Amino acid sequence: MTTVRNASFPEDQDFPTRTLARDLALRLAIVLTIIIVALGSAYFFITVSQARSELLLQATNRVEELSNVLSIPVWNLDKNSIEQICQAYLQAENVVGVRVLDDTGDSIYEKPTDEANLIVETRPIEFNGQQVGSVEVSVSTRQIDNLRSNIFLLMLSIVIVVVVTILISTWFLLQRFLSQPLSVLTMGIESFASGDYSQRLKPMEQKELNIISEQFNAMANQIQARDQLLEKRVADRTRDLSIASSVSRQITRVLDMDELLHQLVAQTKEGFNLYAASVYIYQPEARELTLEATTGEETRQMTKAVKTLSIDARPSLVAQGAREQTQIVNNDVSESKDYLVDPSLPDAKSEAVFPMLVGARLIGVLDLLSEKTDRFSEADIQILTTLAEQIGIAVRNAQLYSVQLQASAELRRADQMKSQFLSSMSHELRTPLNAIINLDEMVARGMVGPVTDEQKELLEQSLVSSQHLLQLINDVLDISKIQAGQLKLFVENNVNLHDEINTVVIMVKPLLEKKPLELVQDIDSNLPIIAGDRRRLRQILVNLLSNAIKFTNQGAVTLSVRNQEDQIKFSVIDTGYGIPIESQAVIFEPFVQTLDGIKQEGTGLGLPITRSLVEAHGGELWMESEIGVGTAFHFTIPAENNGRMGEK
Amino acid sequence: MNTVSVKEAFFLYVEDDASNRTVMNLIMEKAMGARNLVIFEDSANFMERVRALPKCPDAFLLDIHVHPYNGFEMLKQLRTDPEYRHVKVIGLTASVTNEEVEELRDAGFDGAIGKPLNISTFPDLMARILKGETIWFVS
Ligand SMILES: Nc1ncnc2c1ncn2[C@@H]1O[C@H](COP(=O)(O)OP(=O)(O)O)[C@@H](O)[C@H]1O
Ligand SMILES: [Mg+2]
Repeated sequence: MTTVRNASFPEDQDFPTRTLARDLALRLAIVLTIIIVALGSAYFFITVSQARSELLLQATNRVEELSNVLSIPVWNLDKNSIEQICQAYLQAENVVGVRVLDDTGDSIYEKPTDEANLIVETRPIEFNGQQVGSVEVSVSTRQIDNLRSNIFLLMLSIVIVVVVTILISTWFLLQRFLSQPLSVLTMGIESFASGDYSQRLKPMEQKELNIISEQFNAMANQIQARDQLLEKRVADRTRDLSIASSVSRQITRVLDMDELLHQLVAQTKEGFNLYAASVYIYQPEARELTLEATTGEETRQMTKAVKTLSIDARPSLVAQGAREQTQIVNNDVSESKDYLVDPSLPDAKSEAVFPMLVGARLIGVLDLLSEKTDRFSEADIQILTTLAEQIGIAVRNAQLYSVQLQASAELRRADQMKSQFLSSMSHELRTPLNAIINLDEMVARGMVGPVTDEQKELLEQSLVSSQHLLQLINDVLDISKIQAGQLKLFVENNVNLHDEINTVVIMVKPLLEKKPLELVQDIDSNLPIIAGDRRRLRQILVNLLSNAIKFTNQGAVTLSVRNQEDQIKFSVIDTGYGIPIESQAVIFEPFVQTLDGIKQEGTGLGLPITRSLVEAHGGELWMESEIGVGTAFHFTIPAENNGRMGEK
Repeated sequence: MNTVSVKEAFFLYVEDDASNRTVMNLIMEKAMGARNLVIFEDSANFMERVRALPKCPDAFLLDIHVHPYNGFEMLKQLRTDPEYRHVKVIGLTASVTNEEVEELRDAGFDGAIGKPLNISTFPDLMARILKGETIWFVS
């Protein structure tokens, strides 16, 4: 949006640099200078011509006096007297030269002068009416020259003084009477323009400026009033919208339908300041609307009274809105015959009904009542229509969610039953098997009497089969627990890994007996005491070691255990068949065995269980393998560094 | 309190499976040389029968899946009787699930031993239990 200021003074256009003070001072100075020069010139000419005529008069007077005084001496040619007289006159003011000539024009006395600007007067000298000679007097005009330059200097200084005075005084006066009040006005206007609509101008001392200030204030009042009105409208809209959006935001999170609807009607009533808000849900099979939630004490009664409403009911704005799938707004219900008066809501004056639609599917109706007539404006209707849509979506979600909830509860029940079945079933299977194993073993050991080698051999075979069966039962139980997410560790925080490794090695030793295989232990001596499930940790190692032994015909199986500070890294490395690359991913899936695996006995459950047990401990399991070279399984178990060390 | 040796100790075993009873009898006799073993075939009138014994057993070995009282209920009866509050009670279970071991520990058993019994280690376990150790040895 462009502001008015920017529009009238675009950035690239120059602001005027001339100021009132400068203009005024300049003009005043020029005019006054002209006047002073004119007056000065007149004065100059008058003064100079006065001085000149005075000098002329002086010259005339002197020359006439001299012509009289010199009359007799010239007649007598008394040169001494002439000289005396002339020298006396030369003392007179301004007289710089005297020349006396006889009647033939020869000089009798001469005092020449070298000055250039002179006034020279000549008179005949007469005696008894007869010319006997002439006298010439020179008067200096130096006085006039002095006068001229004095007047010039005077005028110059007057002009300078006047101009300076004018500059200073106009600047000061303008500052005082124009610039300051103007800048007060300007500041006021600027702060108004930048958004402070409460800004008003103070009354001004000068009438002209005061008019500006008053006019501005009047305009500001208008603008402020308009702005406040606009702001209020925007605030109202924003509030309504934010209520609507907060209602719809909250409701989309609530999936429990009952809670959802009660929150919703309460918030809508509160937020929009209504008399009552209700939500009806449409039951498509019954073609009925059921009142699911409504606000206020009084309205509770209504809930009991009219709980369902046929979609064909008349008169009823609610049913009508549902039927026509469009909003129905009645801003003065007293005038309407479609309005169904609700005895529990006697003060209703306006009603607005908004269908809740998801696509073309009618979910229900949002019914709003107000105690004011004309409550629902065009803008309200827009917002509330959107709100009703949002509620519709939320209700639909909640409906779908509850269906899903039921389905998943059933699934969970089925799953639990399966686990339960497996666990009691395996218990029933294990009880006799346990006795078989123990009895078999005791007989084989000769604890109950001597056995022949052949008998012992057979008993041991039977023992291996029994133990395999027991392993299978346990594995199936484990995998079913893992798949049901019910695997739990029995964690003890004093697990000494050296002890557990020793036990495991003792357990797998018998498997090595029939093969040219060596079990190499490469175990750090400083393994920490860790928290873990002993039995499960042993199970992990037994699984990996028995696999390695099972799938290796000769060479070595190496168990390496490294203390890596925050974790322990175990590796079981063999020199066996190796696992083809395409099998490497699938062997971690339950019941998967490679061809070599199938030839050996096994269940195909060892690796998936092992991996889950490692992960349940917070570790990781991975493998590397090369056909004909061997296989390495690695896994880590996190170790909390509590400083305790196990004893080897 | 002096610890009795495995041979001298008086054991009570509650077990409803005949084969398992045979196993226990054999282990006690042949592997441990223990002479004092009393076996209940069910848990009916459990406390009365315990009180009727000539002396208080040094260790109670309780199968968990027994009728009419299971291992937990027998433990509870023992623990609520001041005379038997501190006796050593070990659960013997074929269910090797951790949930059950956890339950046994929470219920207040002094240890649990899984079935099938490990014939090599069982005598040693018994000796440790008699010394007062708590043992959670499951299979
Ligand atoms: N160290 C190994 N060397 C070669 N193949 C192996 C090794 N460990 C596992 N396998 C392959 O992975 C398959 C799955 O192993 P497992 O889940 O332990 O099942 P089982 O050992 O019961 O066959 C085995 O059948 C075998 O083919
Ligand atoms: Mg295996």
